[in-house]
Amino acid sequence: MFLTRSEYDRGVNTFSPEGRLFQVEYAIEAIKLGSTAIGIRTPEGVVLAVEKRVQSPLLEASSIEKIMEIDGHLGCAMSGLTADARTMIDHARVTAQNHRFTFDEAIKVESATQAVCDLALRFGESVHDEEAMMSRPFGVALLIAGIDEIGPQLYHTDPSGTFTRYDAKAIGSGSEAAQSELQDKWHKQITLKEAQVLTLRVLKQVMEEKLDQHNVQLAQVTPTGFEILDETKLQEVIEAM
Amino acid sequence: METSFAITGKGYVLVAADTTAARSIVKMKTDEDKIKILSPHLLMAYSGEPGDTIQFSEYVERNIRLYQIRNTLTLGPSAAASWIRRSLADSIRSRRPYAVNLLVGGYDTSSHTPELYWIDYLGTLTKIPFGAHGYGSYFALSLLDRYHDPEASLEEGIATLKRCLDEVAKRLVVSPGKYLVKVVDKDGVREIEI
Amino acid sequence: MNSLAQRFSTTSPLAHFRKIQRLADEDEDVSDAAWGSQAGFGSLTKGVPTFTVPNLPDPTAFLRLHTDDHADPNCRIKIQHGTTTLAFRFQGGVIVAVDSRATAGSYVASGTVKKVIEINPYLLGTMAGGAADCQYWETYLGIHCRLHELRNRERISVSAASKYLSNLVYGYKGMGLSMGTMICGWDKTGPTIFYVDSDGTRLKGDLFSVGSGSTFAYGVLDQGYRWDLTDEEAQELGRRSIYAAGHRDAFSGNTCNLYHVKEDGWRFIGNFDISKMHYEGPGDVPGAPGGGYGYALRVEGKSSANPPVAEAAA
Repeated sequence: MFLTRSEYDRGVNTFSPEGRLFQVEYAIEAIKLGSTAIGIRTPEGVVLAVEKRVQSPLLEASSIEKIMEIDGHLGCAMSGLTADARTMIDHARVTAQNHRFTFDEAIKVESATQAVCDLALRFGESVHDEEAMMSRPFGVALLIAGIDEIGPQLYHTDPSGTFTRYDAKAIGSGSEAAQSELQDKWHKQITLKEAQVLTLRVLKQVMEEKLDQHNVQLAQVTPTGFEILDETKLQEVIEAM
Repeated sequence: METSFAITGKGYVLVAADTTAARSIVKMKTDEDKIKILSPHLLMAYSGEPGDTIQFSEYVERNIRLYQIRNTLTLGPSAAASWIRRSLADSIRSRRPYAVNLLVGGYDTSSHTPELYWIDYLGTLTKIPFGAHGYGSYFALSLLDRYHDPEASLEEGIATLKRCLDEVAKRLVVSPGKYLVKVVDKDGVREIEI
Repeated sequence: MNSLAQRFSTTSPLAHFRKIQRLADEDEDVSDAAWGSQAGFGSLTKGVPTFTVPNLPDPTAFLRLHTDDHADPNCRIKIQHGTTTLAFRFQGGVIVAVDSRATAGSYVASGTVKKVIEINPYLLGTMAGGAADCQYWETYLGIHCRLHELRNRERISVSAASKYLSNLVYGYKGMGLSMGTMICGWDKTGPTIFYVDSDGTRLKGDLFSVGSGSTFAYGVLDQGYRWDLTDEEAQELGRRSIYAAGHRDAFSGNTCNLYHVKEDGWRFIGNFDISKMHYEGPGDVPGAPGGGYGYALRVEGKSSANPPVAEAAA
């Protein structure tokens, strides 16, 4: 894939002569192996959907958790090395609670995202120090959904610590096909219901297995707060497809 | 005022502690258990600075349990008492010592002997046939010098213990209301109604 | 406060992290072994958070010198002491009632203090002792209750929350913290109250009262308390007990704030003026007998005179 990897793909602190940080790029590659996750922003709120890869009939599908709550008004979907995401989300949760403690108000979506990205950048710190906290970049991308005074927002973060706002974004193995599909179907006046159906439709197209209520997870952040849709609500959306 | 007693008899140790938790002149609670069961044949009555008592006794409890799990072997009464004494001796030389006084009673299952240890917050450890902490000790010790019998049956032991409690109730200005009594013998630890 | 902000700070985090870790390492009087591992939740450098203490050989003595108004009435830092707070458990949940007076020495600093701290929709904390200490640490406790909820997908039990608080304040024992609080709530085990104070004491119980007016409150509370009180009777008892303390204790008074905790969380019942309760009663509220609580009103028209019958007839 990269013709001039040579020695420059080892350290996380060394640019290649072409000005690239290979370890970070490889980390971004790791996400393309992950299951697909989709987020859509609507004027009413943000919808998050993920594909759960149920590899075995003996696997308890409900124990796969790829959408998590950060705070009452913040949710998060992940793709890639989900174990890394737990560290990032715990950091986001602590940051959100600390914000409430210090300022007696809910944290803004951008600030929470910023906090997560600050953490994601720490792989570069103090490699020669035995105290180094992180040895490599996180191998996970997040879709952070939330509502604050600006309204519903959707952010995407990647292992480089970059974050960007999106109206609709897909990450993971099926992201390329899904993203172009979202570009076709998303419009400014999309309703929450339409967005729910759209996420599942797009997921269905890129998933290898047949989509049902066990191998997808759907969540939303609306003015009433973060909510992971339970099986009956999910079933309704599936039927509406 | 906090008071605890313990006496040994034929094959057992009896430990009694009052059940009040007080703050200044107010009794906050009258059914507080201040005798910790540390292992199947070991118990410990604690008194002293509020906060320190619970923290220290839970610290001892967890460490004795940890020893048991790591070594699949329970510390005997003398070993446990020595470890506790050492903890308090280290503590008093730290910046903020635990101010806790203890009576450790146990039954040594290998030598079939009941053993009783008196430990104070300074790290003093003595093996004794009977003992007490708190104001109650001023009345009970002389009484026990007179009435204690190392070969007393459990019933006789309980009767002697009752003498102590009655004497304290009669003579101490601020005597505690209720006591909790526990016994440890070859069958383990159990609570006793008096 | 500084070190807390630093711990969670996102700007130049490593430098701060190191500094805090150094502070934590120096502070070895409480051994780590006593606190156990963090079970993978490594957001804090240590089981007990660090706390900025005066940079002196003996911070305890320094704080005592500047905060203890018993020994020295002219001390620079006044700490609020007078208060009456109470909480009790009964068939219908938990009643929490407090007064609203803040005093600094003989001066009534405020008559509208909120002494019930709403930790979350299911947990209440009461405030006696240092107002700042209670407010700060109980709000801090609120963070950890919320994080517990997010991490374990389950609401924290009252027992666990109170244990967290008691371990926390125990870490600062002897450094001048002053708080006597009741952590009240409803969890899987039902209505629960724990008394926690800055000595590190933590007691589970049915009925507690804390503060300078607690003895007066106990007098009314103990005599009127039964497990099978109705909701209205219980609320009235809480109110009546705070009134009694507000009336008799110079350092308590102004108004009474009343809360009722039930299975679905706490509910604020109301704010009652203590002088008004004395002369007119609490107003039109369920459970109130009607009329003022004051002794003079209660015995109006009654007399202990016992004249011989003949004399009375004449």
